[in-house]
Amino acid sequence: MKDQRSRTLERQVRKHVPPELIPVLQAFLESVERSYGHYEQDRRLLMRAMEISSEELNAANARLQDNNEFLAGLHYGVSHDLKNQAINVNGMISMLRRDIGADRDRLLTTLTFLEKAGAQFERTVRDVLLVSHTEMHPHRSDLVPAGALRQMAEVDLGFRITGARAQLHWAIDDEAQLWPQEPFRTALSNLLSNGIKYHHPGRTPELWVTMRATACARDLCVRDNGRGIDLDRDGEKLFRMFERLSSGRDQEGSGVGLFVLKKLIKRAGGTITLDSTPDTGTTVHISIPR
Amino acid sequence: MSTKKIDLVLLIDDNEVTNYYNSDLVRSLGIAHDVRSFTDPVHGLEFLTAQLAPGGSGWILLLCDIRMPGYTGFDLLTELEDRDLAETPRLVVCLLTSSNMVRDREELVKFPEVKAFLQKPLDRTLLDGLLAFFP
Repeated sequence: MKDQRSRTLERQVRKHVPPELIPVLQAFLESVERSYGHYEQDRRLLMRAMEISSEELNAANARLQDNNEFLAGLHYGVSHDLKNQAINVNGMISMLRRDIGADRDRLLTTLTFLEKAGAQFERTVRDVLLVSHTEMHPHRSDLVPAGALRQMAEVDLGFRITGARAQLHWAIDDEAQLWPQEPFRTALSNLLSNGIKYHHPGRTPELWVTMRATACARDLCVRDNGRGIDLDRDGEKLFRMFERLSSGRDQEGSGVGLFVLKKLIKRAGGTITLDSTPDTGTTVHISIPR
Repeated sequence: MSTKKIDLVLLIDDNEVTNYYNSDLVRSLGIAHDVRSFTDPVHGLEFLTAQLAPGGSGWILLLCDIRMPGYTGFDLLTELEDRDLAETPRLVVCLLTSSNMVRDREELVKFPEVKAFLQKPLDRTLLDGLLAFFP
């Protein structure tokens, strides 16, 4: 349907243009219209391509940022913890050499510190290797029944649970349901040992583990009655590499546990959230879609 | 070695092996009357605060680590500033670290009381250099 404006235009064209040129003009207009159609199509394709490439660019950018953070963290671990411990081992050795003729007690003290330095060194090397192993290896997707995950956790942590007289309460909706092994085994061993390690000095450590399998996800919740974390102060440090929130000789590990766990869960497309109240306890939720 | 110019060397580092080594080094050089070390920075801070109480005397060298779990060397210096103790003339503040992080160096600008930023390991040469800050 032509509107008023195009009818006026047509009248004017017919008035001023010689009749033999009208078909030529029509053909010309049609060809312009066709090219415009092509142009529109090309333009849309181009826009789409740009959208895709900017999505890809964003994704690549996010990956690069992740990698940068990872490298910065690893650099920190190596340059701070590892270097520190190498310096300590050397320091103890030079003291032993200097004091070789000194009294036995003094030598024994230095030897004890040398052993400590060596053990810290080994632990950091192990953690650095664990972190880079997690980074370099594609994630495994094997599935195991929920009941097997519980058994593995109890075996992995057996001596710690009895050592701390900790009480574990399991609530598993279906022991036969299949769960992705790698992220959940790491999660259980990590969260349970954290719950025991950072227990409240005034009470028996208790841990409640809930495992629920739904049609679309696997949900794990680990709650403890430990000393809790001040999230306002330390919240952003929680999942950083080589970050420990509290000192003390009873705290083993160089601070890679939650970092590695988050990495595994993210890789499986899942989420991890942590909630905590100082002096009351900590609750961690993990959900991985099927 | 020189006479004892420093009354108290206070070492704060979360690593007990580092404290053991550094205490021994300071003692063996005979530059201080007393050497104390703390693995818990908060305990160290309380001890230092008591030492700096009004009416006290004696030169103090604080050698403090930066990266400690839960409480950094910078947290400690901030708290010292809040207590109006950071600029005490008889206190010489030095940071001692094993990681030469740009981040840490940038942070230093905020703490003019820091006389030296030293890389571990602590040794005789570094300590000799620090003696220049004492009369």
